[in-house]
Amino acid sequence: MKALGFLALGLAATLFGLERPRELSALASPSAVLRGSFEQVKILKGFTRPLRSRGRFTVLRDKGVLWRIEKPFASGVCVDGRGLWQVVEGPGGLRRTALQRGDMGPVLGLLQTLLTGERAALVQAFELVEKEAPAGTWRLELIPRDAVLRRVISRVELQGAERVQRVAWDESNGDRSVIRFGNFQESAMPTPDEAGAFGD
Amino acid sequence: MRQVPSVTEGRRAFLWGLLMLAAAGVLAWRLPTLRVESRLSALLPADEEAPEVAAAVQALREDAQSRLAFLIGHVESARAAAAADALAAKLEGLPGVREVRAVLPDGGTAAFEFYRSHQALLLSPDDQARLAAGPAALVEAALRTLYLPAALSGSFGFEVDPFGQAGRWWAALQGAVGALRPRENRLWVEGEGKVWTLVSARLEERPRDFSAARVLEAGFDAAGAAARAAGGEVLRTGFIFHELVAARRAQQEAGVIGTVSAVVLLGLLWLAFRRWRAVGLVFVPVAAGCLLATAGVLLAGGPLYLVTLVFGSTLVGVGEDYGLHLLSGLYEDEPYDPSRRLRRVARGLWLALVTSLLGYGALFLAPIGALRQVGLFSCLGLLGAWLTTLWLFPWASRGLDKAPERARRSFARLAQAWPRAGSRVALFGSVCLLGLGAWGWSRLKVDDDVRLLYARDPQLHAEQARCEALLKTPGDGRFFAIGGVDAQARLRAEETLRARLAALEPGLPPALGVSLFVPSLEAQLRVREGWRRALPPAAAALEAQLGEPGLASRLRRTLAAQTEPLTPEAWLASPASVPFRRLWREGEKPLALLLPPYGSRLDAAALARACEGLPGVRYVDPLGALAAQLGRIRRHLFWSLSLGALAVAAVLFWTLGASVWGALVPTFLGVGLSLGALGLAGLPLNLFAGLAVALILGMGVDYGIFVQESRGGGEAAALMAISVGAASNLAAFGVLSFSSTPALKTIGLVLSVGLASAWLSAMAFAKQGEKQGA
Repeated sequence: MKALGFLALGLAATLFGLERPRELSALASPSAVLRGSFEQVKILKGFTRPLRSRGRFTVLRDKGVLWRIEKPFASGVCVDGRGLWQVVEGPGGLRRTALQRGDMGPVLGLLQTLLTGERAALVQAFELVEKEAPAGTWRLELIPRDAVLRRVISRVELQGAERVQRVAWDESNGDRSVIRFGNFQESAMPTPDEAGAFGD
Repeated sequence: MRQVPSVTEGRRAFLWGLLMLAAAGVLAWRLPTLRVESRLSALLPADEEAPEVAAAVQALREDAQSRLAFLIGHVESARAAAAADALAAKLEGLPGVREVRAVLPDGGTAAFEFYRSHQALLLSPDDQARLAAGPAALVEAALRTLYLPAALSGSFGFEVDPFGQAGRWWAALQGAVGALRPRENRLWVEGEGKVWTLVSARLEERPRDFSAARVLEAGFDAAGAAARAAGGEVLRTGFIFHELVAARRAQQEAGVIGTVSAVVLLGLLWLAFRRWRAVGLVFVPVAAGCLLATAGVLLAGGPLYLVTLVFGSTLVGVGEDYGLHLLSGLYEDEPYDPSRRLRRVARGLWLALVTSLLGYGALFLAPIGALRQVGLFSCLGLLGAWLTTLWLFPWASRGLDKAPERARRSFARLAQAWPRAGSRVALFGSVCLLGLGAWGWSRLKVDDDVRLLYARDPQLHAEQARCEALLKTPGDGRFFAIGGVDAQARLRAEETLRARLAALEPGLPPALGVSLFVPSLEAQLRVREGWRRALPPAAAALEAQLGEPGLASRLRRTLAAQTEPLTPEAWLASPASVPFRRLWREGEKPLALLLPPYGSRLDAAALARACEGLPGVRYVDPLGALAAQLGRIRRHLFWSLSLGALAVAAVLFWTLGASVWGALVPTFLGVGLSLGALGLAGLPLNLFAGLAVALILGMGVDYGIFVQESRGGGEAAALMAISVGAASNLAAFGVLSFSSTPALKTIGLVLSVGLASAWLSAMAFAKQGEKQGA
């Protein structure tokens, strides 16, 4: 639901790199496919240790996001216009099964507005606050406007230089996640595996 | 020298006056309690079997008709919100407009809070399957919640929604409800590169007359202008907007059409008779007929249908010809003498009345109340018009000078020069016209859809279509009615039906009904049993895998707090149910309503099949039912008219002998060509076309009778009568062809073509060789 809308924002803003917070309209990537690696640390209330994961992601412009965890275990999900999918390695490549069917319209809609550089979509979902940052970098705080979403996620922080390098989000119950991105790579076509994960 | 009316003539006119006084008395007596049934839906037969379904249809219709909404869009939500506020401020205080809402009272969080203690029992179908699959799937789900970025798992967060099922249930729910989402105390939807916010209102009472409609329309226009001035784009959706446009058009058209046809009609009659008394008299039979008919129908009791007034009074228009036939004595060679003229045309008038009564009396045979009422109205009306001609006209028209010599001569020349049946010109013309008509027939389509009867405003329809595409709200008027006293049984039936619909159209949101929010107790207990079995091993496995002591008991506590079964009563009492309470109707015969999802392409037959075998469930399609009923009325109209036409043909055969073709051919030519024209114009064959055909039948036969029955120099007078009658009807109805309301356009077109062909061909059957004006 709305939480998924947040995903789109987090990932898209992350992956397509906010060059400067004031110029969100300049963040669109010219390529159809963007890949990279991620490392996530989650600090959960009631857990003695932080949960760490890493893996690779793929963003297909106008299509959706594929997120593959490699460590500590292999697991993947894909979100696109038709739903949220669990992606698993099969004998003939990646295979997907529905976690949640249906129109993810607002999600992909938000993602696309970001990709086409429409600041309006971001602004209407989040309150944007620009924070101080070292020279050559920027920091942006996003507060959800949606009352229900705000009960789940209290704030998001994006940080980067040429691209987004770090996303941190605070959940309302005190949980906190930080994701770092790297090894960006752009291409014109998805690999057959990636295409399979998107159901093509 | 002026002739003095005879005593008999005076007595008859007095009798006529008494009759009209009595009719007026009945009208005055019944008028205070008179209610004209103007709703088309009133034509539907009463649903004896399930009055609760009819009540639900009625309630839904009233609800839909009273609601109006605006979507205000801008690329920036703040600007859209400001424009919405500007619009809402203008809406407040408009006559009849209530409950103007641009801002939500609670920001949409009340519903979220309400479901918390039941959340673990509310699962999407996919999650139900996963829970049934056992603990392994639960462990996987929890790991996704823990290791994926917060949103990708669809979870509300590990603490409250460790397996993510609550987030996914909400998502499924939102898909079913539509695309509107609460955000910062407003409802929003995204699309077309903009964000749109909703301003809704309810119309407590619809405008009563044209001027009130104009005030309301101006108010809505001002509200839209205020929003646009604030930078917003405005889309309107709601029944009232269409109604206001239709009212404005009707008013404009009534003005133009009324004026044009009145001027043409008066000019025509003046040209024909050059006597204002004669011109005035022409209108009396139809007016008197309508008065008598209304009184008679009121005395017969029952509701007075608007359809009766419109159709009936149109059919009574045939009665105009009776008077004209008498008055066209002004074109005879001798000085005008109404008694002599009446004697000459008496047989024709009798025949015309009998055939009309036979033709329209056949409507009594139709098993449809409204159609029988039309039959009664038109028969009484024609009788009234006929009596007026016989009783009032001799007295009232006595002493009129015959038409000026020049007018008589020029008309006689025209009538003489008109090609006769059998001549080459007539044959060639008929063949061409018949070919054209046949082509039209091949393109003729039957369509009884009610929506085709109303004028469409392209701008308004475009806005409405964009609103629908943006809002994605289910409910196009069709629904499943689920009866049964046991609330749980209704919920179970909904669930079965929803699963069947989902199997027919996978990928669409679930069908909207109460069980989407409140699953049946059976389904909830099944889920609870699933948790009881799968949760302890799954929790233990997770604790072991993550090495987090106490995790298993925490997970069990979290879920235990969310497994309180939810009842329809509790849901109905909560704020969460507010927008959906209309789907759950209480009462002696309670009813649950299930709406097919937005985007469903299943047709009526498929939907009806989907609920087969489910006791107490039926598919309801009010618009479809209305179209079916209009189609039924149309078929009965055609059948009874055909039957009437046969009877008329028999009577004519008996009375006219060999010259029967002169009466029949023009009529059938008129009907055939008019329907051909309908096909050529791309207009559908519907009830209104049927009405026009009925009129052509009545008039066409009369034209033939008058021409065939005229003897000894009376032919010019007969031709004059039918020419004036046809031309005046063309003036009155022909202008309707230019109406923007398809129903009126249909009547206008069919009548113009039909009457013109019947008239012109009847002229061709005039007896040859007789010289007029000699």
